[in-house]
Amino acid sequence: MRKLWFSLLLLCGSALASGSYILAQSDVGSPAPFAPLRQAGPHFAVTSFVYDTLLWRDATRAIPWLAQSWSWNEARTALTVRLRPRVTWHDGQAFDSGDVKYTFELLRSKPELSNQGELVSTYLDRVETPNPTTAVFVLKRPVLDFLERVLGWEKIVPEHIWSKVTDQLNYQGADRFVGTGPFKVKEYRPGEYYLFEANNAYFAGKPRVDQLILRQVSNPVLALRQGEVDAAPLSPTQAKEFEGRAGFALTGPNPSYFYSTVLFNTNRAPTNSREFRQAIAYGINRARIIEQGLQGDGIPASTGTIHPESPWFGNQMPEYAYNPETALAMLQKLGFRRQGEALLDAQGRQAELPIVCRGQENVRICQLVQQDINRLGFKTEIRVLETGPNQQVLDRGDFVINVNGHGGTFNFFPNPDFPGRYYKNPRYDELYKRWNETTSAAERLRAALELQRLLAVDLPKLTLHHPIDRGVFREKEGIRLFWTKGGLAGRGGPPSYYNKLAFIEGGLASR
Amino acid sequence: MPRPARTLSSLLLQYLGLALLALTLNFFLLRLAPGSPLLGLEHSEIATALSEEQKQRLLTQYGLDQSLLGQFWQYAGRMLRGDLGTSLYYNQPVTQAVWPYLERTLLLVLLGFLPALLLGVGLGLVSALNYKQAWERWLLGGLVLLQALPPFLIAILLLILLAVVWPVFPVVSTMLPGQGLGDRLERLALPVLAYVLWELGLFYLFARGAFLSVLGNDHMTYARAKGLPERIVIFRHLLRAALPPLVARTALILSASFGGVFFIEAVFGYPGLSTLSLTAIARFDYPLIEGIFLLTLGTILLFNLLADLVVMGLDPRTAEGR
Repeated sequence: MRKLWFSLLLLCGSALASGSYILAQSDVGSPAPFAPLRQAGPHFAVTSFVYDTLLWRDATRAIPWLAQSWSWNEARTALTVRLRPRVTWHDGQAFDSGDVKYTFELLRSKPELSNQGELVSTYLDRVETPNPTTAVFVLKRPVLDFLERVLGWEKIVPEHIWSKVTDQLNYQGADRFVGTGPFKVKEYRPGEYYLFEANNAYFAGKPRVDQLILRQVSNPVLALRQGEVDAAPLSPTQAKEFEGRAGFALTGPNPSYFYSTVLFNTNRAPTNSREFRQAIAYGINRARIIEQGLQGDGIPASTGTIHPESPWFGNQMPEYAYNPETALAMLQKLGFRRQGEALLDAQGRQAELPIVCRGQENVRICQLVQQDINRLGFKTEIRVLETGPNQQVLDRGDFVINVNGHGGTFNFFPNPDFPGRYYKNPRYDELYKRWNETTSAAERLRAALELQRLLAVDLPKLTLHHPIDRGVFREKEGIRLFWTKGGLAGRGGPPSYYNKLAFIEGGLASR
Repeated sequence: MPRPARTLSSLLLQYLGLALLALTLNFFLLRLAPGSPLLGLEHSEIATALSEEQKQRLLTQYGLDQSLLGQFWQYAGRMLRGDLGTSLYYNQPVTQAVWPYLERTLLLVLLGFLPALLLGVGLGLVSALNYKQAWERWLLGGLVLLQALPPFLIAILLLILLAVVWPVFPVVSTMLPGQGLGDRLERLALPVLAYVLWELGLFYLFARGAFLSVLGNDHMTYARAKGLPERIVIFRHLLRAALPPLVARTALILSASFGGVFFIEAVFGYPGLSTLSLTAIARFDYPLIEGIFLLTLGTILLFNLLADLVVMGLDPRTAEGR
């Protein structure tokens, strides 16, 4: 009986097997190009199969895509982009520089359509189109990474469709899915799957499969095991069972762009003291948190807060290797003293250090942090709050220690204790401004290294770890998934194993 | 106005008042909870620290820059026009966003509810008619135990046993392109089974209780003393007398089952309203949460109203306000 059911299941799977490939992917709403609240994550990967950007990324770097080549003027205020000729939209119309001009001028006038739209409106003055295959971006002032951060991020949309639409954000017409990408949207079934059909006229090569299905599954390990999907990102522990299994291949592990952090409230005692924060950093066993909180599926994050794949990453930051004796010695210098197992403050009272924990998903990590702080002799208690209430606590400054986490770890934030906003340091502001505005690559790198050192020494937040994951995929139809270092778009874009280059044959994909 | 008509109009007024109260609470409770639809951007994979201008522009775009009262009047106006608004996260009308998920939840409830009801009431009847027999006590014990299990635990046990250890049913609840009703039913089998097992004990217990209380009445003794055949005693006297409380409790259980079914959907990853609700809540998508809440509440109120009307029809004493 069991064999019979298995055979039936396999038959169900094989009905789709020829010319199709199924990726495990959560539902991120309709694959329309304008979605400011969804865009900053998997939505980008999903829509990248349908729309193209001027630049794309292979495994390690930015590559020309709809743009064939580009050049800057000497003052770096005008970027001339030569577009790839003979590219067509999914509805058969020709793509040209008018579409590029339309897309960027739309974003300049309505930056709320994209979560990076602010960059376009801040930096872009106008787009000129001397001929159908040339677009000139005239900037208000020189910007060092306009190319990757803006041209690598914004998807080009067809002028002949969108120029007739007034409310682009909420437009529901069927032609909103017309792109130039390797796949056309055939069907979107909310909560279940996206069905994409090959665009055999794709300029960069023929898609490897006729159908690409992105399917929502709640348990990707079981779904892979039972042939319900062909690929999924898994934690290394989960991925182990597929190592060496016939028909499967693995890529990675790679560190996620998320990290967990311990945020200190620098506006109230005792965490307003840098030495106190450093003492706590010595007292937290980050390796144990990775081992016990993530079952080993993580790497320590840099105390300079920047991700190791980022071009700004500095690898010489203070590590605060776990050493409770050092922590206690530093605390004693600050007036604390041990009495038995307890730690007393300068007034002889039991020292307390309450912990606010963002979200149930962080509770295990919070408990491990709590255990380490307890070992130093503090009295602690954990309060768990979901994202909204926790942000309120951060905004009001109603916390001492906040165990948090977020992505976007390739770049610096204007508020260094992000998502808090209490830490103030004029030196940070000055360096951040320099890093953000300089047009000299060398100066920018210097500013980045100084910023990291400042954060690592001053410690408004102690970064704990990045989780790691692996791409597990079925070897068929010539598809081999790979990790895109730096994310799919620009530097620090959405991290993903689902790079469209893996799904197209030869041509530009083999670069 | 005749008394039954007065009772009916007062009942309808009660429901209307309840619906208005729910509409108001629905708006204010959500907005007063700390959080914002923009929070998701700050905690995404490429977290964005929004500038004040960006925040303001996005809030204006979504009509969230107005005062709470101003937003409430807009909301009330939309509700009066029957317009649930546009989802902030999905950028599409709420009705359009909710419908595919609601449809799947209703299918699950419908497929699970009827067998649970029929089986539960049937077993309750058999049990009441064989009160205190040894096997009846075992049946009672088993179903009390089943009824005490939370729905998510039943779902997890079924998933482990019938989809993992012994993979008779597919582990994935979502469909693939080209699959039809047969595949939907196959993928629904475990969630439906979990639903049936979860509700079965409850239906059994209240049906058994209702039948036992009627069986102890004088009119049942009288009917039997008259020498009426057992079939007529059961169908004409027992069932008829037990029907009003059964219908009222059935409507209550059906309403409450929307809560339990969310857990079942979550365990199986079934793409029903639970999936959508979790996204809507996590993203502070106010119109979408309001829409889901209103549709769920509307369904619950409708079932309760129907039950009240049916009970009024079955038992004239309730229509007369006694």
